[in-house]
Amino acid sequence: MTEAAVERRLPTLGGLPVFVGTIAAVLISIIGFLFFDLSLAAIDRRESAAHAASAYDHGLALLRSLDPDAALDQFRIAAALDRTNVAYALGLSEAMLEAGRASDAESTLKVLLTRTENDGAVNLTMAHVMAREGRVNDAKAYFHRAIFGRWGADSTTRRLQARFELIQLLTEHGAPAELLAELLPLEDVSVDSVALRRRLGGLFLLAGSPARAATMFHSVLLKEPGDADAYAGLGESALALGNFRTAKADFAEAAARRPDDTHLRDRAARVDTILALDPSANDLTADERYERSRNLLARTVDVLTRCGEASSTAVTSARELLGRAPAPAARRVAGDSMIGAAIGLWNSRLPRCDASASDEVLRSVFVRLTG
Amino acid sequence: MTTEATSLTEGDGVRATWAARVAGLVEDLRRREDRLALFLSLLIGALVGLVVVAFILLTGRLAVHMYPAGDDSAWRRIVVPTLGALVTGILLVRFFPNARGSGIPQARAAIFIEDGRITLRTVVGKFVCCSASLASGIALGREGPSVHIGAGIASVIARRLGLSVPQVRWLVPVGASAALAAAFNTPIAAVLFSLEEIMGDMHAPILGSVVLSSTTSWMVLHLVLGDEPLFHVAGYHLVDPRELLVYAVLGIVGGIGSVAFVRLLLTLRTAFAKLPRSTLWIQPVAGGLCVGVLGYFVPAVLGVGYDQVERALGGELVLQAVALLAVLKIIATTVCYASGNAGGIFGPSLFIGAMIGASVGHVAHELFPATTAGAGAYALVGMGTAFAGIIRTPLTSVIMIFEVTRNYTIIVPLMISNLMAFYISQRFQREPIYEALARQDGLHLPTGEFRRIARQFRVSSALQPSPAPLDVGLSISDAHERTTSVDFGSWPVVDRRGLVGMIRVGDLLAALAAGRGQETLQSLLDADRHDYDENALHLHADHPLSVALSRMGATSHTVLPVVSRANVRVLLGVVTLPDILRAYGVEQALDIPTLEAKAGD
Repeated sequence: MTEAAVERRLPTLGGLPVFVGTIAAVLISIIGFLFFDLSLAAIDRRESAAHAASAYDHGLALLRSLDPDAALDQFRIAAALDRTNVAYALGLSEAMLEAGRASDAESTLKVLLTRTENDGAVNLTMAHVMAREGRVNDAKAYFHRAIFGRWGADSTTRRLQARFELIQLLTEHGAPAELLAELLPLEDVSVDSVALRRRLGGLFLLAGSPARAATMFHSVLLKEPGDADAYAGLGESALALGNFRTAKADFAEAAARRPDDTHLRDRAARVDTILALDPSANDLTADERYERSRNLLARTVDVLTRCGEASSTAVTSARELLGRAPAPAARRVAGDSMIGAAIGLWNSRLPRCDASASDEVLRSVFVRLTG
Repeated sequence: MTTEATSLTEGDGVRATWAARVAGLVEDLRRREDRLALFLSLLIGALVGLVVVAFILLTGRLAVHMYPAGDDSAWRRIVVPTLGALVTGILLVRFFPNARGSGIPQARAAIFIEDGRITLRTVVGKFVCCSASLASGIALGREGPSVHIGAGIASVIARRLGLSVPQVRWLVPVGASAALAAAFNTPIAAVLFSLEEIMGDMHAPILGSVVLSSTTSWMVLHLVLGDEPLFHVAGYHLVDPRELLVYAVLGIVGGIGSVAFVRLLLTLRTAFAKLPRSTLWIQPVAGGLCVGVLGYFVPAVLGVGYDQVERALGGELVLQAVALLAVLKIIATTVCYASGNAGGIFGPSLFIGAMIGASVGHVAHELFPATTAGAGAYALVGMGTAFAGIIRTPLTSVIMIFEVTRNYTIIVPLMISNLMAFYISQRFQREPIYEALARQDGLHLPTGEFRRIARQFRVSSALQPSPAPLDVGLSISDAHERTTSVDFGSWPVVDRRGLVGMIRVGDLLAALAAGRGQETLQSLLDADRHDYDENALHLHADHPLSVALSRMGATSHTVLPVVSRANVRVLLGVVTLPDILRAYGVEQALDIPTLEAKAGD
C-alpha cells in the first residue's frame, strides 16, 4: 500500500467526539459483557459441579449395588459436566469395566492417562482393565505404575493394596520369580502387622522361598504364640525345606490348637507318609533303608509309567534294578543305587509328569534327597 | 504563593501536553485506514466474542430453568418448545422481523445488497429470540444466529463510527468470523468460513482483519469458558487401507442425506411461504409442536443435541438409535426452520452427520469387524460429511472437524468422505442451501456459480497471435504503411531485446499530419510515456478480462500486448477490445470483425 493510500482520508468519517464516544461505548460494553459472562460462567460452573457431584455419588451407590449399567449413565453425566475431575472419569471407567465394556474403559483411561500419567488410581484401574482383557504383561506394567505412582491421602495403604493385587495376579499366572521380587520389598513394611506377616508367609511359600516364609511365621508366633495358622505355615515351610520331623511337630502344634481342622490333620498325615518313605532318615537300619529306597524307586517308576514313559531306557533299567534280590551285605550299596536311580528318573521326567502323576510325597522326599 | 502558581501552571502544561498527545494519537488512528482496521478488528473480536459467550451461557441458563434437572415430565417436552415457538414467533413478527432464520444468508445479504447494514434492533432480536427459542428445545443451532449477531455488531460499530460503505462491508465478515470462532471454538474454521461462504472469496483482502478478530474472540472464549473442545473424541485412526472404501460409501450416504435434508427444508419453506402473511406469527408453533411431539417419544431430538453427538462419537449409541435420530432430526430441523423459528442449521448438520456416520459405522463394523473402526470414528467423519454436503464448504468442514475434536488422525478419511458428499450434493442439489434460502426470500446474492464463471474470463480466453511488431527504429510513415494491412487500433513496438511499447494508429496519423513522417517510432513512444503506470501497458495470460478492460481504459489503447510473466519483453500475443467482447459472447450482437477476417479481406 502506498503512503498516499495509507494517508487517504476517510471522507465520511464522523467527528472526533463521535469517534471517541463510540470507542468508549464499545470498551465499556466489553468490560460489562466480560463481567456478565464471568458471573454467568461461575454460576454455570457451580451448578454443573454440584450436579456432577450428585451424579457421581449416585453412580457410586449404583456400582456398589451391582448395577453397573445404571451407574455408567450417572458417571457419564458427571464426567461430561466436569471433564477435569479425574475421579469422575475413573468412576466411568470402572463402571464400564464392570458392565463388561473393557475396551471402552481402556479408551477412556488412555485419554485420562494423557493428563495424569503418574496417577496411581488411574494406572491401577488400567491394570484391572488389562487383567480383565487377559493382557497380563500390560497389567503388570500398569500395576507397577500404580505402585510407584502418585496417590492422595493414605498413599502407603493404597500402594500396598496395589502391590497385593499384582501379587494376586502373579500368583494366578504362576510367576514365582516375579512374585518373590514383589514380596521382598514387603518384608520391612509388614513389621507391625501380624495379619500381613502371616499372609506374606503364605505368599513366600508360593513364591518358592520357604526359609523367608518360616521367618515370617516365626515373627507371628513371637507376637501371637498360640497362632495355629502360623504353626501350620511353619509346618509347610519345614516340609518345603525337607525338614519333615520339624514339619510334623509344627503340624501337631497347629492341630492341637485347632483340633477340629481336618485340613491340618490331613497335612500331618501327609508328613507321616513322607517320613515313612524318606530313605535318608538318620535312625534307619540298613534293611529299613534298603526297603525305603526300593519303595521310593518303585513309586517313581510308577509315576513315570503313568505319564507315558514306561518304555524309556531309564525306566527299563530301574525295573531291572527292582527285580534283583541283593544279598543282605550288599543291601546298603543296592539301596544307594536305587536312590541314585530314583533321583535320576525323577530329574529326567517329562514336564507333563509334574502336572499329572507326580505326588507331593515324592516331591518332598526328592527335595530333601537332592538338597 | 508564587511557587504554587508556578507548579499549577506546570501541571496544566503537562496535562495539556498529554491531552494533545492522546488527541494526536486518536486523530492519527482515525485517519490511517490500516491502523483503524487493525484496531477495530481487535475491538470487534473482543466484543463479539463476549456477546456470543453471553448468548451461549444465557441460552444454557434458560434451558436449565425450562427443563429442570431431575424433572423428566414428558408433558414439558411438548409444552415448552410449543410455547417457546409461540413467544418467539410473536416477538419476531411484532418487533424483530429481520431476526428470523439462521442469520448467515442475512449476513451475506447485508454485505452484498444492503451496504453492510444490520441494525442494532436485529442484533438484539436475534440474541433474545434465539436464546428463548433454542433454550425451549427448538431443534436448531446457535452458530448461524451467532454469525448474524457478530456481523450485526460489526456493522453497528462501523456505521456509528461513520466509516465508508466499503469499510462497513469489510467489517461485517470480520464480526461474523469472530462470532463463529466463539460459538464453535474453531478460530481457523471461522476464518475459512468467513472467506469461503460469507465473502465467497478465499483471497479476499480482509484476511488479516478476519484472522485478528477470530483469534481475539477465541481468546475471550477461553478466558471465560476455559480450554475445552466442543466434542471429546477418542483417538480414532484408519484401521486398514481398505477402510477408505467404507468412508467413501459414508460420503455417498452422507451426500444423499444432505440432499434429502436440503430439499425437504426448501420444500417445506415454500409450503409455509404460501400460507397467509397474517399467520406468520403462529407459523413457528408448527415447528415447536413438531419437535415437541417427537421429543415426547425421543427426548434426544430436542435442542441442538450436542450431548447426543458426543455419545455417538464415543460409539455409545446402538444402530437403531442413531438411525432413528438421524431421520427424526432431519424432520424436526426442517420443520422448525421452515416454519420461521430463530436458529441455524450448522449444529443440526453436525448432528445429522454424526448419526448418519454412526449408522454406516455400525453396519460396516458388523460386516467387517477386523478392517473397520468402531461407529464413533464414522460418526466423527460423518459430521464433516454432512457439513460439506449441506453447507457446501468442504475446506471449512475439514478444518472445523479437526478443531471441534482436536483429532488429526482421521483427516484423510474425512477428506475422501467430504469430497464424495460434496460431489453428490452438488450433482443433485445444484444451488447451495444459503443461496437457495436467500433466493426464496427474493434476494439474489452472488453465487458460487457466478464466481466460477467470472473466474473463467481470463485474458488467455481472448488471446490471439500478435501482428508483426513494428521496429522502434522504423519511420512513422513506414510504420503507417504497415499498419494499414490489418485494422488494429494499436501496434506492438519492439527493439532487438523485445517489446518496448504500443503505438496507436491514431498517433501515427496525427504525427503524419504534423509532418513528422521521417521521425522514428521512438519519438512517439517517448511522448506517450509517464502518462500512466508502466505496468498498465501490458497484460498477462492469467489476468481477468476485467483487468484488460480497465487497462485499456487507463492507456487509451484498444489493443494490449500479452507478455510472459518471466520476461515482460517476450510478446505472447495480443488482446483486442473486440476479442474481449467476443469472450463475453457479445460479438454477434455488435458484429465486430475479427483479426483473421480482416486479414483475409
